[in-house]
Parts: sequence; C-alpha cells; structure tokens
Amino acid sequence: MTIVWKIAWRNLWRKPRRTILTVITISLGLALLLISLGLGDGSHNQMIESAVHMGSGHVLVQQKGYLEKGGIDRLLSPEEIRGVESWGQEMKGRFPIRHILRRTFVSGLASSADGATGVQLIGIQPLEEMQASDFDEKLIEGEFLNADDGDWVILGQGVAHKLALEVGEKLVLMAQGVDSVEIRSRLVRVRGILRTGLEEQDQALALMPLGASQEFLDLGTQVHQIAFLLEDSRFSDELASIGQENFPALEVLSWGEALPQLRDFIRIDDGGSYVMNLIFFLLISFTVLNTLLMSVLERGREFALLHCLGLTPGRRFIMVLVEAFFIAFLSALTGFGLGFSGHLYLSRSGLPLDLFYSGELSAAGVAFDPVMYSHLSPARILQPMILVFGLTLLLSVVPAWRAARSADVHSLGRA
Amino acid sequence: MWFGIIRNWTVLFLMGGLIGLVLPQVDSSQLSPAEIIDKVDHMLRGDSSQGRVEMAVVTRRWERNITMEIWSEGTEKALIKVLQPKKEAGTTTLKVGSDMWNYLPKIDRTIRVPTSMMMGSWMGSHFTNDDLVKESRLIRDYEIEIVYEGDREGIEVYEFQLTPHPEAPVVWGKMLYQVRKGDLMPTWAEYYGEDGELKRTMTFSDYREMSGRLVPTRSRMVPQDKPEEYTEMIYHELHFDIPIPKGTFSLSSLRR
Amino acid sequence: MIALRLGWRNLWRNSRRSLITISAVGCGYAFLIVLIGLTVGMAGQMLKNGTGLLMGDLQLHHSDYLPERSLYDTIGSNSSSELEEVLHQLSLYPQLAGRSPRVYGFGLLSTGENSAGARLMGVDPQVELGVSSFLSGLQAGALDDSVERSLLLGDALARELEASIGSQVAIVTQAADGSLGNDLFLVSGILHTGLSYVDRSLAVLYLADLQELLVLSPNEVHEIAVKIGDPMAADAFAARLNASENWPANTVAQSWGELAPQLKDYVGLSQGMYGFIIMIIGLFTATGVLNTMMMAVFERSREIGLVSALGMPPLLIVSSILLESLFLGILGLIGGFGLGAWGMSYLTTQGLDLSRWMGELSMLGTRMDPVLKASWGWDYVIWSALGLLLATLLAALFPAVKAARLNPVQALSAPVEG
Repeated sequence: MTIVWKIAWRNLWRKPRRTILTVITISLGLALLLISLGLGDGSHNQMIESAVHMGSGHVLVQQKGYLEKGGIDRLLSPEEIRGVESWGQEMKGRFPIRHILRRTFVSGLASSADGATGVQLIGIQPLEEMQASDFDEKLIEGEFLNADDGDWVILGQGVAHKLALEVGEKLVLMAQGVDSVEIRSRLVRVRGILRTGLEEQDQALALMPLGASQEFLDLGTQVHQIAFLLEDSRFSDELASIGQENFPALEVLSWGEALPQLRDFIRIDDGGSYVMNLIFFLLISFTVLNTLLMSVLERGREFALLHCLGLTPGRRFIMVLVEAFFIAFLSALTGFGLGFSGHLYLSRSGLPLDLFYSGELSAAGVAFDPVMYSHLSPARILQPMILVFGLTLLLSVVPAWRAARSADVHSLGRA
Repeated sequence: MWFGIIRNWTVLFLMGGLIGLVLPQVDSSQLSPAEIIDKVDHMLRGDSSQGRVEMAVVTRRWERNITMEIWSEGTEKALIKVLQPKKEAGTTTLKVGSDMWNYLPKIDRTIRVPTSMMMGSWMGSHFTNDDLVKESRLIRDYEIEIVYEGDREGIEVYEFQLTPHPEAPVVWGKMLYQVRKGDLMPTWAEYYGEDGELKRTMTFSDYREMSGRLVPTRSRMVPQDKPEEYTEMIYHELHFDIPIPKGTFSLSSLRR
Repeated sequence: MIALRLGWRNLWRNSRRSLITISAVGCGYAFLIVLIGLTVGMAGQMLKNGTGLLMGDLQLHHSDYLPERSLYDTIGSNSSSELEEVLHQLSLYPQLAGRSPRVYGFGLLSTGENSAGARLMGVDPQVELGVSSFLSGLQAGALDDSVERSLLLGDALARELEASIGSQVAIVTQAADGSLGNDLFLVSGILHTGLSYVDRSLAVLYLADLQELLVLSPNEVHEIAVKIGDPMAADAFAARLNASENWPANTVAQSWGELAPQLKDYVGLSQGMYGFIIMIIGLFTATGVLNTMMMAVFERSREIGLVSALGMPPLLIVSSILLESLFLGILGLIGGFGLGAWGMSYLTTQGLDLSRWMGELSMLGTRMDPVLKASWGWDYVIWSALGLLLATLLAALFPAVKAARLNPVQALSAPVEG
C-alpha cells in the first residue's frame, strides 16, 4: 500500500509547476478567509471593548429595574455591595476578571458664567477607572482625576465648549439628592476635558470621584452600579448568568443586555460577513474542483500506462485521493502561513480605516477606532483550516473517480 | 437674578433706612462693609415683602411686558403671580428653597421644574430659573470689601468688590457694586466670569419711597454679549414686613 | 487575422479542458456579480432605511438653522410668503416625489406623576408619509384629527411617563414670543422605530398644533424634508436647488450625504470594497487560467517548435496564445453573465432572509431590514468583466512568452508529455 503513497507523492513533484499552482490557489483562498474572519472578529471585539471601557462593563450589577428606568433612588445598599464584591473576588479564580468598579450616576445641571447645560454626572473610582477604562486616554486637555479630588471634575468636550470652560475654571453642579429632596449645588473645577468621539456622550459627560459624588448626593456608601471588566468578553454571558443566580434580587447584566444596540450591530455584521465568506468558500471550492479535475484529465495517458502496468482502478482512485491529501495538507500549511502572517501584521499595525472613512465613525452607540485590528482565536483559525482541508479531500473524490474509470489505452498511442 | 437683587438692595437700602432710624448717630463710614452687611442680614431674617412689578423684556426677536404680584419671605420663599397680559394671567411660580414649581392656568396644572430645565430663562427674561433658585446670600458666599470711596460724576459713592468664597456654589468670578454714599442706594452691579470678563450688568434708577423706605424702583439687566437686549423690572408697589398668611408658599396656594 | 483563427481553433483542440476553464471564469464572474450585488444592495438598503425612515433624501432649512437649531431660524421668518415660495419652487421639479414641512421644539412633558424632557416634532401626516416611513411604524394608534391636540409618544418615552393611549399629557415649552407655551395633549398613538433617539425622547404632534404652542406663525417651519426618486441623485439635486435663480436667499438645501456623513461614508466603504473583491476573485480566476494555458502550451510544445522552425514569427505565437485565452475569458464571461444574472434575478426580488440572525437592529442611526436584497448595477458588472478579462490576459502572458521563446530544436526532440 505504501507504494501508492510514494507514487502519489512523486506524482506531485513530477509537474512541480502544476502542483505549486494548485497549492497556491487553495492556500490563497484559505489565507483570505482567515484574514477576513480575523478582521471581522477583531473589529467586533474592538467595538465591544470600546463600549465596555467607556463607562460600561462586561458584566453590570444594579438594582432591579435600573436598566429600564434609572433614577437616583435605585441604589445598591452597602450589604449588597459587599456581597457582590466578595462574590466577584471568588469568581476571580474561574473567570479572567480584571477589575471590579463602583459607579454612581445622576443627571444634573452644570452652569458657568457663560451658560448652563444638562449633564450626566458619573461618580468613579479614579485610580481603578484609569487602569480599567479608556477615559484617561481620551483626555484632550488637563489631567485625569485623583481619588481625593473632591472638588474636581472631568468634562466631555461638548460640555466644556457650551460652558466656555477651560482646565482650572469653575462651574456649579446642581442635582437632585436622594428621595427627591432639595436640589444640591456644588462648586467644582475642571481637572481635564475629554473626547470620546461619541457626540451624545461628549455633550453630557461629567466625571467626578466616587466619594465626592456620594457626599454631594447624600448617598452614604451606596452606589448605582458595580461593573466587572474581564480580560475576554466571551465570558460575559456565563459570568452574568451565575451572578444573576446568586443575586436574584438584583439585575446582573452582560454587555449584550446592557447594550442591545451593540449586540444587534455585531449580529448583523456577522450575518453580512457570513454571506460573504460563504461565497468565498464556494468560489474556493469551485477552483479546487476545477484544478484537481483538470490535472486528472490531463493525465489520461499516464493513467492508461499505469493501468497497463497493473495499477488497479481502486488503487488509482486511492492514488489520486492521496495526491489530493498531500495537496490539501500543503495548502493548509501554506494557507495558514500566509493567513496567519497577514493576521499578525494586522493585529499589530491594523488596517487603517481612514482610507475609506473621512470623519468620526460610530455605530450602535459606540465610536469606531479608526484602525481595524485582526483578532483570531485558535478555534477561529482551526475552523477554516479544517474546512478547506476537508473540502479539498471531498472534492478530490470526483477526479479520483474519473482517474479510476478512465483507462483509455488508445491515448497511449497518441503523439 | 432679580430676586437676589431684591435682597441685595433690600440689604443696602435697609442699611441706610434702619441704620438711619435705629442708629442715627452712627456714621456709616465707621462700620466695615462686612459689618454693615452682617448687621443688616441679621435684620433681614424673617423679613417679608409683597409688591407689584412690571417686567419688560426686549430681545432681538420680540418684546414683552408682564405685570406680576410677588410675595417673599426671607431668602427661601417666594410666590410670583402674573397679572397681565391676559394670555398669561394666573401663571404662578412658587419657589421654596431650591425647588421651583410653575402653575399654568390654561391647563390647570402644576409642573415641577426639574434641574434640567433650570437653564431656561425665567418667563423669557434674561434671568434664569437658576437665578431665581440660587440661594446665594451675599454675606455667606462672598468676601466684601470697599475698593473705591469717592466721587463719580459728582456723586459720592462706595464701590464694593464681592469675591466668592472658594467653595461657594456661585458661577461668578467676582461682582462689583456701586452704592451712593449718602443714601446707600445701589446704582449698578457688574457680574464677571472667573476669566475676568464682564458677563452682565444691572443698573438701578428711579429712586422712590415705598412703604416709608427709599428704594430703586427700576432695575435693568443687560447681557454683555447682546447689549441691545435687556430685561427691566419696575416696582409699582412694594410693602415690607407685612404679615403674610400661612400657607401662601405652598403648592395649594398656587392655584389661587 | 491568422492569430485569431489560430487562437480560436486551438481553444477547441482540447474542448474538455477549455470548457472547464471557461466555466471557472464564468463561475468567478457570476460570483463576483452576486457578491458585489449583495454588498451594494446592503448599503443601498441601509441608505434607504436611513433616508426613508425619518430624514428624507434632502432637507431644507433656514441657512442659520443648523447646527444650533434655534427656534427662530425658520423658513418663513423673512416674509410670510417665503414658505409658499419655497414649496412652489420645489414643485417645479419633476424628480420631486414628496415634501413634508416640519416644526421642532423642546419641552417638558408631564403626566400627573411623572415628567420628562422631550423633543417635539410637528408634522402633517398626510404629506409626511410621502417622504418618510416612521409614522407607519406605529406600535399602536395614530395621530388623530378627530381629537383635539393629538399626540404620539416614542414607546420608551411613554413608559417613562407611564402614559398610554388616552393619557393626558401637559407640554410646557419656551414659546417664540418669550412666554411659557403650555397646553394639554391627548396621547393617541405610541411610536416604535427601533431607534433609541426617537423612541426615548420624541413626541410627535400636528404641525399646526405645535406652531400654536410655540407661537409661530402658520407660515413658519423649521425644516422641509424632501424625497426624490433616487437617493444617489440627492447631492446633485441639492446643488441645483441652491444654485437656482429663483431660490429664496435664506433657504439652504442639503442632501443626506451632507446631513449624515457617516451614512455616506458607509456607502462609500461598500463601494470601495467591491474594487477589492474584484481584485481577489480576479486573482483566483487568473490562477485557474494560468494553469490551463501552461498546460496548453506544454502539450503543444512540439507543434510550437515545429511552426517556429518553419518560420512563424514569435509575435504571432504570442498573440495566438493570448487570443486563445481572450476567447476563454469572453466565453466564460458570457456564461458567467447568464448565471450571475439568473442568480441576481432571484436575489434582487426575494433576497436572502437573514432574520434568523437579526431581530431588529439599528446601525448608523437607521434601522436594518433582516432580508438582504442584492442590487444590480451595470457599472460594477462591466468593471468586473473588464477586471476578469484583464486577469485572464495577464495569466496567459507568461505561458505565451514562454512559448515564443521555446527553442525549436529542444521542443522537437522533447518526449511527448503525458
């Protein structure tokens, strides 16, 4: 039997050009598929991370009903906070939890000598948020907050513009305290100005240290939200459902539930890519079939000769299959090599989107990074490789069968 | 805001009036500005007022004239009811502390003004709801000093500079007041941003006696960026320290 | 020409091989047509949703209106006949498919218990439906002219106010004369567009009612939304309007591309993509053709050696091979066109039903249809054909040149290839 293998292998290299062309065609298809998948996954990942790092989280824990209705009164009590955080610590063993953050949210009014505008005031833990989120990277002026910056805030660019404020200047914040008691005012100064790229956020964002916001709004040690930031967004759903089981009185959401628009966008983008990749795949199939078939058809004389030499149809069939196996193997390797190096390049340098886009791009409430990075998990790499490999083998059955059947002795006589 | 103005010049004219009455021998120049204002602030506690005001607003686009009746108690409570024009008659604003409600007779509803609407102008004037609600008590929130004492165009005046305390929740960088030395009547007030830019100017005129006190009955607010616009308040009637019925400053009284 | 006849005949000497390669080219072309058709279709659909839902193909405003959207910058603020004049001017263009005047404001909505700030939009439902479709997405009810001061609320807004059909809502706003505009409205419909900025904060009422609330004259509107037949012609149309002689001075027309540049960018992106796709598929096809032609040349190397020795000029050899591959390409394209066109006829009408993946979603401020329809465009069909043809020719170049350089002596004495 091994003789068939040896013959098959040598067959390939008797006509190196043909073999190489075939392998290149197939591996090109595979490489493109890998890159397309990588960019697709990469951009989705980027979007998720972008959204999650800009004031949201992979998993959010809040008072029940907070997502839908909000409201300053829907708070997590100190016991609940302790409970959730210690559960979070436990979960660190099983899940790649990077950060656990506390936040408060309230709508209020910010006014300066030049005007006033509504703001969404977010109380954050500055040190942790700086490590966890992208807020500090989006600063365009000034600096980020320190934990003891009781009287300092970071403003979104739109807010600073409307109030004609620069770093260091003062503004008055007004908000309603808990239980709709009197409106509170606080004088604060601008520590920094940031720009998220999302107009809705930039026009209303104001960040303040958590302790200061709790004091300002008379919240005690309560907060509105505990956010979990993970290393990898794929664990979000699982962590969230475990969390919900452990805390049935609260609402524990994954990013998909908290940001349904983003989740939908990713789904539709996936849908479109699916179609495109499918078509690609069909094209690859066709090319593979074409190439294999043609090479078999060309070798009519050779098969006739082999037939005369005693190679049974069965063996001829296997021979062609084995040839296809080798080709598939080589193609998979080269394809992987090409595709993976493409992916590596794109995962480092990325694909600059400003070839296509001029200004700010946002979708589903998230600002797109102007550079698209590729992201491939091992599973994602194996999928297309196995598919193409299997496809090549599968498709080789037709030409193999052809090879087995045709033993046109007459072709031997042809010049 | 004009409400603060009431307090401001209430403070200042009371300085003149009460000091003149109670301490006739004391030369005002012997008291420090802070002391003067502090004394008056004491006397202001529990003070109440009632009056009839006409407000004229001129903007680029339109002009308006409203007549209203106002009641106030201390610095915390005020009730303002529109009398004219007919279309808006009955519209009433109630302020208690930092909360504000509007009663709208046309729809017979009382609406609470949320913080987000505080940026809107009050009744279309150059004052904001925010102005109305702000509790800035001058003495509490500002450092007061005299920066000029002398002659301006033939009249002896004091000019005060008010600098907000570091944590006072006021948006202004500073305020300048000019007050006539003789009768302690305010003449103008200037509001500056922290950057030192003048943002708006208030001028006082038409000094008359109301309920036995000399008061400026006309005050005009002009924004610096649109000098052709202004809001002017004219007091036609003003009474002080009259007993105001209990329950006036309540939601139920809005409808009356 | 000899080369032509040679090329053509050579093609059929190994008809099986030629047919296989022709079908490769054909399939490549068909796939190309379908792929690009789907991409363009998707972008087009998004565009249609983007403009068709709310925005319209063009919008007209007072020249100062954007971006601050001041209450006072209306069409009609200059003179009482201005609005009429603009509408009249519009009607002179046959491309006009619909136009809808709109008024905007911002106010505080209040039911007994709850209040919320909202954007107010005043429309004339009859003409609005000729321009946009958001009113037909009513979850329940409709603007009702038998009711005084009928109101529609976005569904999230209605929930926040705890209001439903039949609820009475007070609206308070700053009117144009400085007074506090206020009135009671009756909720007669709930809107659901899938766009959060609408559902959460929009309240829709009759144009005339909003004008009254805001104390605007009946001849003043903030915006006129316009629909023409083809959204892609919007830029040109807007430019024409603005440049036209009789066009009122303070009114400015802007196309959706100017109003929503991110939408325009996305459409541009998908158009840019198809150049990329053509290239890729061209590469594939070229490889196939290369394979074939190499094979053809080797097979005939004895023959080529022979005719070369007999004096056939190398140029003729090259051109006959190139032409052979050109014929391959052309035949492939014809076949592929047929296949592609057939595929497209299904995809442009039925489309691909992707509703398994998507529920309802929004992207770039528009709502997406779960059925993906392809869109035929002669431009890309022709470009693809040219691209593939070029690829075929280039692929044949190497073997052609190789053939011409064959050493006749070697070729003639080489063993027959099998």
